[in-house]
Amino acid sequence: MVHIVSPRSFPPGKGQLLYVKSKVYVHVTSSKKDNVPGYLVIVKPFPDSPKTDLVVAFIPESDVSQDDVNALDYFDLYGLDGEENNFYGNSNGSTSSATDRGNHNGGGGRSNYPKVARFIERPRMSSMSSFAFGLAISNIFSIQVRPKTTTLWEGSVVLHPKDVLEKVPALFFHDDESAGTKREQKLKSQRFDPFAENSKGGLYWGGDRFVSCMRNYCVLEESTLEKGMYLVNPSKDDTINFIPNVLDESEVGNGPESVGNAVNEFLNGAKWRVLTGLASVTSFAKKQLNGMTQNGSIPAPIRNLLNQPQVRVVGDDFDSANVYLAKWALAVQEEAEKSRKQIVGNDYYRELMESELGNETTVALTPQEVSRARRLKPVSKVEWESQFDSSGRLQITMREVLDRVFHGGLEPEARREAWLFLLKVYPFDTSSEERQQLLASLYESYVEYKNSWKGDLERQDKDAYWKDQKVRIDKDVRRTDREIDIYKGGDPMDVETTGNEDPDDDAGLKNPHLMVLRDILFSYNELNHNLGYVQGMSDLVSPLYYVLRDEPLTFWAFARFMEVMERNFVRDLSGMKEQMLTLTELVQFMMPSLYQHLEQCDSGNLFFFFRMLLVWFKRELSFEDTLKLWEILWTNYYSSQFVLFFSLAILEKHSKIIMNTLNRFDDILKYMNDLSGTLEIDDLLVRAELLFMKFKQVVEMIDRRNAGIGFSAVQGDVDSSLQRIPISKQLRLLLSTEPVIQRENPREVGDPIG
Amino acid sequence: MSNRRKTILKVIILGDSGVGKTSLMQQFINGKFSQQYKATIGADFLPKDMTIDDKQVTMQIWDTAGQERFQSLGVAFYRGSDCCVLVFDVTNTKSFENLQSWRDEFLIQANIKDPDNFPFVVIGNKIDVEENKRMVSAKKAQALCASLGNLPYFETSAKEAVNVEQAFDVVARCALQQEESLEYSDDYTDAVNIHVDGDNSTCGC
Ligand SMILES: Nc1nc2c(ncn2[C@@H]2O[C@H](COP(=O)(O)OP(=O)(O)OP(=O)(O)O)[C@@H](O)[C@H]2O)c(=O)[nH]1
Ligand SMILES: [Mg+2]
Repeated sequence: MVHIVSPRSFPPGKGQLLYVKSKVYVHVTSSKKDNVPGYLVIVKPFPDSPKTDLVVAFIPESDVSQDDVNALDYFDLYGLDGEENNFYGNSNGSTSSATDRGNHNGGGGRSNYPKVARFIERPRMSSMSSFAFGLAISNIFSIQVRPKTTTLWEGSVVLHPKDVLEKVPALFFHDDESAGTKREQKLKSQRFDPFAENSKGGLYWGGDRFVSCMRNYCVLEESTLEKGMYLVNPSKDDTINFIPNVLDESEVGNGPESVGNAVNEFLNGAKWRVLTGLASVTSFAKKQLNGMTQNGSIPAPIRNLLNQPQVRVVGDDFDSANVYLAKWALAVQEEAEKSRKQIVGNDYYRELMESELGNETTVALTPQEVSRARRLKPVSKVEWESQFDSSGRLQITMREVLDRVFHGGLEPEARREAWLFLLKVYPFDTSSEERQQLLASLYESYVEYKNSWKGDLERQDKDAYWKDQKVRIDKDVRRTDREIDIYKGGDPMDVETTGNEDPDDDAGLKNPHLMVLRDILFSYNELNHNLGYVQGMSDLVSPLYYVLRDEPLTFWAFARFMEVMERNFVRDLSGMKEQMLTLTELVQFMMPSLYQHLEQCDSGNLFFFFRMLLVWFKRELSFEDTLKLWEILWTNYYSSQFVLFFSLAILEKHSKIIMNTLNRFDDILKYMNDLSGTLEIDDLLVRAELLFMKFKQVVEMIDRRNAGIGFSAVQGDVDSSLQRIPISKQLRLLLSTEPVIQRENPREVGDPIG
Repeated sequence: MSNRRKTILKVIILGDSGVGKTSLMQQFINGKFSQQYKATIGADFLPKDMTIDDKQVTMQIWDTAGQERFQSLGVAFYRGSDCCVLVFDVTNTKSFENLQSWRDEFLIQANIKDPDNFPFVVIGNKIDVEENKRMVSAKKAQALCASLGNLPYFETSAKEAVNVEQAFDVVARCALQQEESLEYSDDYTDAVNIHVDGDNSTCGC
């Protein structure tokens, strides 16, 4: 009953259809109205084309002539199954299923070879004016098939060309619109086949047969690493890389095989799967995995991933498969996002915000707003200086300066001067002469503070508080940024110390830069008597000294910085608690479902942000990135508490992974703590900026609504719009650029330090 | 006991800032000592797989910040701990004097139901320093541990890897015993009443 039609000659300029699916779409943007409908086809371009020259093409409906529409639509309906409705009943005793991915021999009634001969114009391989594209089978590296999993989402197919620079859009199968698919479904329902592959649970969808048809013309091997990824005519290397035989054949049937399988499965399923069932892997599996990474039986891409330092660490101790998986998922996500960013450019973030934060039309960001949120190149020294006239006065507005620094940060050479402005050591409205005078008086008063403790030998002997503070500062300074060049070396433990055995002495601190840090902290301890030195401050002073490289200037810059940061260090921690609470509210406000998940995991207190907020991500970012983040935060450009939006951006970026893979307090804390060294600051800053804009818009919308104005603009039911939505004081304060200042209460004599 | 899940033993290390908590933990887990460890902010934990008498366990060791004002954060993670390690610096009398308040604070914050039987292990660290810098004698330390309820006491050097392994071995045993006793008491409604033949000799707590 099979009619494979292959005439000696084709109509001129035409190719023969081997497969057609109608109502396949390119989703150009997230908006439905931009979708491009078309046909997915396999075409034999010439009568004598070998299989490798067959073309897989997408032809937009708008590109098709009326003749071809007829041919395509006819083939879509009858091409593979023929015209009779009872086709299945008449099949030659075939037991293969309607989708039959495993049918390699092509025999039986369901061969998926064409039953009718139809020809269309040879498809275009690319187009400037439409989304048409075509690829010869020999140019396809792999096919990624994402079947329809729920009735909500369309299944899709992505062709990956061999040329890695070439990208073609994903094709979505709108089954409910496709006449051919609907017929197939109908035919399928006439015939109950318990052995059909799809009876295992998958939904029948339009892409099912695409793979079986492709199998007629090329070898398709499914990667064991990624389900649904089919390599097209794979080479030996590809097979090794993507279809590894992790498990030695000979081991099958023995005890360890189940573990091997577990690991194998674990590797396969890691991407984007909810693996809540797999709480932790036994230590045996761990050894197995570690062994695999070493003995090279693991495929190259995964090996690279596993060898990334941060993944490596977890791979080594392997306490919790969830955290491990989460990290893996992150790496995959980042890779995907990177390529996504390349494809859709500026629209990427906009789409992201809409998909992740919902796209109520009332609070959609405008393209202008989205385009404002971008990173610029850092301000160079020359550019910085060009903002001042010959007398050293600012020629542009302060707001413009802050805008520029906020969006670009500073080049290292520009920092020294600029930081003094950003930290308000220098007021913006001064001339160079005024700054010179200021400088002189700052030097003088610093010497005063320094002398006040240096000279007071009596107190150094008696005052217990002072002694404690001295020990504390000393201990912390020598544990501060020792990996940074200027702070390296000169430790008493490196150098044999001779004679100097009094621990209360300079304690053998030999590194001159650390000695400066210590003196600055002692002086600050004196300046801000109530607060004194608290752990964490050494982390704050070290970058300032690193950039300014001048003791008195660093002291004053630090003192200014501390005016804002004092809030973080007050004895009862109320300032920290307040910030953590505000962040909590912000997460609830902006990402309620994530918050709900965190709460269910006992992580609603966002405990893991404590360290990040206390020293402004100093411990999580590289030293260089810390400098950049701080100068950006100092601008107070949008909000004096922008650091909370930066934090929110981290949560937003990781929210999917957290929700899908992590469900215990420990796991979440570990995952968040381990983000150290992996945060991509530029990406996070763009997200943070967009989140701020969005936040501001939502607040404004609620305000308008609460004020009873513009009801008509608010969509939705009237009842809910009558309810006032309260916005807490803390949240509203996030819109302010005025720093939140909190000072320590006076210290009573004899107060414990703590 | 059933193998329904891998046993995780949660251990908290407490003590004044600078006594060497982070260094001890790193020495135990990674076998290294470095001058580059930073003062701890907040809390972090590291896992370590161990075998105790043929039983596979994962120790989850929580390193905390020593400065007192950060202690109120403890509530967030003290809960569910199986053993608490109290560390002082043998060259620092004050860190020794503070041990008891660390213990008391822990008992309150962790909401320990049966404080008398909760396992603590005391560590006097930095014994590598010259004798004349040592301010707390072994005798004095042992006396305090005895008075606090016969707590096991170890003298260690995180720097020179002295006694660290031994101390944490006992910590693990104490934690395991605590975890198992909790498990049994959690299952007290079970019809089968399992008798715990506690081998107390392996652990002094
Ligand atoms: N000589 C000596 N020094 C040590 C030893 N252990 C730690 N130190 C040093 O003591 C200082 C403090 O060590 P940490 O391990 O950071 O102390 P900590 O208890 O974690 O301190 P916080 O994180 O502030 O609570 C560091 O300078 C260490 O190098 C030791 O066994 N011998
Ligand atoms: Mg520490």
